[in-house]
Amino acid sequence: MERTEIVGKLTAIFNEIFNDNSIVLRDDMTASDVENWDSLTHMLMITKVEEVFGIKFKLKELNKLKMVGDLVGIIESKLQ
Amino acid sequence: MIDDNKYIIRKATLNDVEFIADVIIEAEKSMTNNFGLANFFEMTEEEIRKCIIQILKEEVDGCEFSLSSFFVAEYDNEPVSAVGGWLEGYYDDMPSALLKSNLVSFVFPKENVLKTKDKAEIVKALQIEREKGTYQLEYIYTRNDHRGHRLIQHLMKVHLEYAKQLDPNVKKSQVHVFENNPTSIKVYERSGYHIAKRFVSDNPLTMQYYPYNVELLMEKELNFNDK
Repeated sequence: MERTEIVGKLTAIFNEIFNDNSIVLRDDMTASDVENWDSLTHMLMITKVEEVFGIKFKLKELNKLKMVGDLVGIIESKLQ
Repeated sequence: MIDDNKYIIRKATLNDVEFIADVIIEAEKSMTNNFGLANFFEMTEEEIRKCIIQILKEEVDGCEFSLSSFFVAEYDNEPVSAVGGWLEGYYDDMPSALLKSNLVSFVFPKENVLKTKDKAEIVKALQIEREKGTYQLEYIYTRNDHRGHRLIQHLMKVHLEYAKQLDPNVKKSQVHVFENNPTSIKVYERSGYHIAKRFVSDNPLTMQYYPYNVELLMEKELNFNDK
């Protein structure tokens, strides 16, 4: 899957989970940049990403996720 | 007859995971029979207990679901009381809320996590943000037959000594407590904590997921450098 396709799908997940259709993803975006990105929505977002992309994160991978770019990178590497 | 000299205070180990899971469940109930997590995830208490045990065994540091966050009081080789605590944001700059969410999304069944989606709004009013650099206390419990021996105060004191070791510049410790739990509030007040903020949820559905609809943020100022 191309990076742009990943970002597209991820944007749809973010729009749904964080309840904001205007979110435009940037690689350096963090939880503090997105309204409603809290412990609950984080948990939902991760679970939804796994479901949509058909992947399963390792705990170590999750605990290193700081920015949206990290998330895109891990999804990309898992789909290769 | 309990002999106070026989209590041993120590860090929790992998042998304590079952007890710590009970501590988390009992503390979540906050002296009621209402186990909100079960309603929230639409799982039984036993199913959630199994997930919590698995989470504790992952040994991720820095949040309320971290085995390393707990100090226990042991009596006759049995854990009887425990208090969790950690320095917020200390591990790799990660907020404990995200570490906890990562653990839940890693361990809990996917379908149950997704069932929480429509409930997020309901529980939001009582989600208290944890301040970076503060020493957080969470999940505090003593078995019935060992209450009245000041174990909680003792364990809290041990936590603050540990906080000082981690970072002597820590300025504040915080604990959350539901307002319907005056016994715990008194214990924290006796340990030097005061009520800093009151969080009220007006949503009538709140009580399905929390033991009460008012949660208090209690704080204690720390000044290790002056001592």
